[in-house]
Amino acid sequence: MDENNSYPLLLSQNDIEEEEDDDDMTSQELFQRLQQAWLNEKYSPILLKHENLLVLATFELLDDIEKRLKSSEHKTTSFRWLMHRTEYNRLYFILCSYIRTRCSKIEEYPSAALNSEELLSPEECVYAHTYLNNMKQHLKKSVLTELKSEQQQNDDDITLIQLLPKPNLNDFVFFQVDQSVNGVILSNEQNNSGAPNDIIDFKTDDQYIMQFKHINKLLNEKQIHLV
Amino acid sequence: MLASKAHELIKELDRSRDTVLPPYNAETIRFCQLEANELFRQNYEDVQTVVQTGTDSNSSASSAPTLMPTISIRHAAIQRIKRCLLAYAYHRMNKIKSLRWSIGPVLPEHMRNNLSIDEIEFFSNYNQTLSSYMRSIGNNHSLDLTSFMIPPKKLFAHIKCIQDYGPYETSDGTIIQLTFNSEHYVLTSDAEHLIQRKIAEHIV
Repeated sequence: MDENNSYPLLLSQNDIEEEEDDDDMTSQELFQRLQQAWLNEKYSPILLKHENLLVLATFELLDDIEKRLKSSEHKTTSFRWLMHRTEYNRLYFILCSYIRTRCSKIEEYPSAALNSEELLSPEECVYAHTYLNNMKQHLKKSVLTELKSEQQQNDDDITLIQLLPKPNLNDFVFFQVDQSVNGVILSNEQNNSGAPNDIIDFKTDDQYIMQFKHINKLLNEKQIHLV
Repeated sequence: MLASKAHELIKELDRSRDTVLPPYNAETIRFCQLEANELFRQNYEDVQTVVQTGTDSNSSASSAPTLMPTISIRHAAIQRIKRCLLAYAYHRMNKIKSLRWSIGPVLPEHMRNNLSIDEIEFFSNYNQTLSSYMRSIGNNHSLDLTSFMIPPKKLFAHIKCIQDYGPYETSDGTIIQLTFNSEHYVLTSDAEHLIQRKIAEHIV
């Protein structure tokens, strides 16, 4: 798919670099990190940590580009304006897509998302709460209030949560290793001498496909990235 | 056959997978709820009987054990009806959510007729939640999440108007006249907006 190709940064480095030194990130670096966060989020079956810093920095960058676009005189006739506008569109798309993926994951598994609140931004927390209430209220009103059962109120909440789908940690994902890691334990089986049976060493720049649950922790510590 | 009406609801959803959402089948739902309540009432009586015979005499009454399979079948049927009803409501809810993302905050008349009152309320609540979230992203910077649903390949798009809309102001201020069959070359963001509202379509 085209959206997975790397987007080369077309803006001249000199223009933006002077104004953008949030956390010592050049706009090129910001873009790389945003793109990696977007891809990680897209390929992982569960919700990952919200990259608030990246989002805010991207907003600043977008505002900056928009100001330039508005203030330039020769619109649609200058090549420079066209390039800036294309870059703006692409950056906007990646940001939108990142937030949209997170939104759809929150909507699919709202109770799982609310259990791990440190992964959400404060606005997402509010969103998840209101969405969950809305959904529960709708399901209860349309279906469950008519049914009589013994412990009606408590029963409804628990049954609802149990019947909803849960995220699948056993999905297989492709990933590439950034920093080498030794001794990742895959299962708890032990061989005869009592040592765990399945240990794997990861070397830098190797690519693997594996179940997500094994590498969840490594992804959080940024030692691998999903492809 | 117990819970067969509930199964019909699921079949109805399955038949309409690729087309528009069918009208809300309030009648069948009401029937399923009545059936579930009736089963529950019967179960309740039987459970009372079992409990009574259990406490009255220690020697196992001959009627009590034979009621247990009946009770468990009815219980299983009640669970199945509940599951089918929830699946029906949940699936319709998901479809309504996708309508918000594809069509926008205002639903056309023919779609709105197919929804129940609760579903319309859910839709407007979801609308509100989504728009307040979009406004609050990035410390109240606001971001329109429904723009750029597909990655923008080109900067401009060649579109043809399929509706007589009249004057339309694009994002950089120029006013274009949208009459039937007129062709325009506009920025991708504007083009996407017009295509989403079915005012124009792409020219391949």
